[in-house]
Amino acid sequence: MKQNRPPDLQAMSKQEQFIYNHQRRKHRITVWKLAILLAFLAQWELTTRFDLVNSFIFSSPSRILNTCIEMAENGQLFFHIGITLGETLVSFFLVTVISILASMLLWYFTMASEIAEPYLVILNSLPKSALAPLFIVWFGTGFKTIVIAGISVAIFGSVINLYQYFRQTDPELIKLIYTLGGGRRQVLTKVLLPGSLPAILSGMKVNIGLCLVGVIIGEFLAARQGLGYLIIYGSQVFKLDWVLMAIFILCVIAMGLYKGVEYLEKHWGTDR
Amino acid sequence: MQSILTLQEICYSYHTLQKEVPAIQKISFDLHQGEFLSIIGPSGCGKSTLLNLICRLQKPDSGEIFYRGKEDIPIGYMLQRDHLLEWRTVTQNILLGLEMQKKDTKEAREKAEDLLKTYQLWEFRDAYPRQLSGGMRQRAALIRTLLTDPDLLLLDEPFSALDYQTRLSVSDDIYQIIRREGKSAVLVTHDISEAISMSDRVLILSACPARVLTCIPMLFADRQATPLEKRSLPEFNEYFNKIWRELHEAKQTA
Repeated sequence: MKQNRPPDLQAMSKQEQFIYNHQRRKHRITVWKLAILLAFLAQWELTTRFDLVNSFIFSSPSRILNTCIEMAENGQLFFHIGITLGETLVSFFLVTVISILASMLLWYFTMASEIAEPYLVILNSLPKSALAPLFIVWFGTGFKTIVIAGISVAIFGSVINLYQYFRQTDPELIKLIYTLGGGRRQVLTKVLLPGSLPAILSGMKVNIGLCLVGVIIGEFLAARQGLGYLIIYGSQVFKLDWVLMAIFILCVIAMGLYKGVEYLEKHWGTDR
Repeated sequence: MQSILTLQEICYSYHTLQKEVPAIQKISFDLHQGEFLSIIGPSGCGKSTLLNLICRLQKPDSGEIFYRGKEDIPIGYMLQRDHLLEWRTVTQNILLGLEMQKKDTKEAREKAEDLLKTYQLWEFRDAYPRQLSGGMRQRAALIRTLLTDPDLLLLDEPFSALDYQTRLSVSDDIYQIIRREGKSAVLVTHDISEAISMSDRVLILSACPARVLTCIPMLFADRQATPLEKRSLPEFNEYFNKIWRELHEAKQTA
């Protein structure tokens, strides 16, 4: 039998030891991450299979997988995912554009920003799910309402954060622009906007998640399609396979969107 | 000699909700064409405010400022830190002023190239500010100011953020550049040695509110000496003691 012997630490140089330890640590973390997921899925599958818990209420990984395959075959799955993803991306795009424009305006018109401040704070801390029923009455059910619900969750915090970031810009940097013959507009375009790119990108990472939250809230109340609709409808007709599948897919989408924005951040945020 | 800048009885106060704080009281002086004037005084005595007034960023409460008898001349202002924009290359940074004044012409770019070559930044023209040493950053900041072709340069403690070694060599560099380009300059500092070694005259201000205590011409026998060389000349210590006494007496009577 060949034994997988641990390498001889004594024979390594300090640098090699350091690299070896570092890699071993990273390796262990990866193993544990996967182990937790697998253990969770395994106990879920086994406890439902041996009727320790009720698979009708708790579903099971295999039932979820079967539902997934079934719905993928008739195309329904991609339809619902596409709807939710589309609504999230549209509201995310609008949040990004609107919050940049709004914070620029607030910075440009100092007095307007002071006047708007209490309103922004209230709107930001208001639970947006309280507004969703109103949106249905005002905008009907469907795409528009859901995108607005998605925007409403992220927009106020995003504006406040970005505006605060503008305000914290070194006043000497602004003075520099004036001494070089620029005006308030140049301060915005030459200093504030390019300088706050890292803040905009890290704000985007938060916003993409919030938009997804808003979209799901919207779909709960006002949709005939999308993953949020699947969850609500599934729970109403006791198709918990649907509910849990949709939740699993949401996990994957949330992760994917976050990673996507993180990728953008790495490419635009640091070295140019 | 023609004067490029004349201040007549300038007064300026800051206002808070609690009180009015007089910062500058009846300051008058002249700056001759091509002259290097240092303004020295205790910290917080309103030196930077004075530069802001000269640069027209703030308006005096009373008094007049004339520029070579005219209303307006191009003025360059060097701040305490270089404030190079981190996301722009050296070349993009030095062109910032021209870009905003819509003077980003072909000739201007050629002049920028010349200045980069003359002042040893040519190899770094496409580098980002974080890749430069403190001295190089300060030179880039000066080139940015010089490119807008100012008749008058205002320097607000431009070396205070540098360590002592760098500070000595950079002030030497900057001095030579300003002399070679034939600019008139006003340097604000609280470093007595720096004031003596760099300027033709030293204007001493009192503590807040700032008044002119006295103005001392720096006459060195060796007129070609660089700031660094002046520091070891015999006149240097005399002037140092004289200025130090002035500042000290002002503090005691205050």
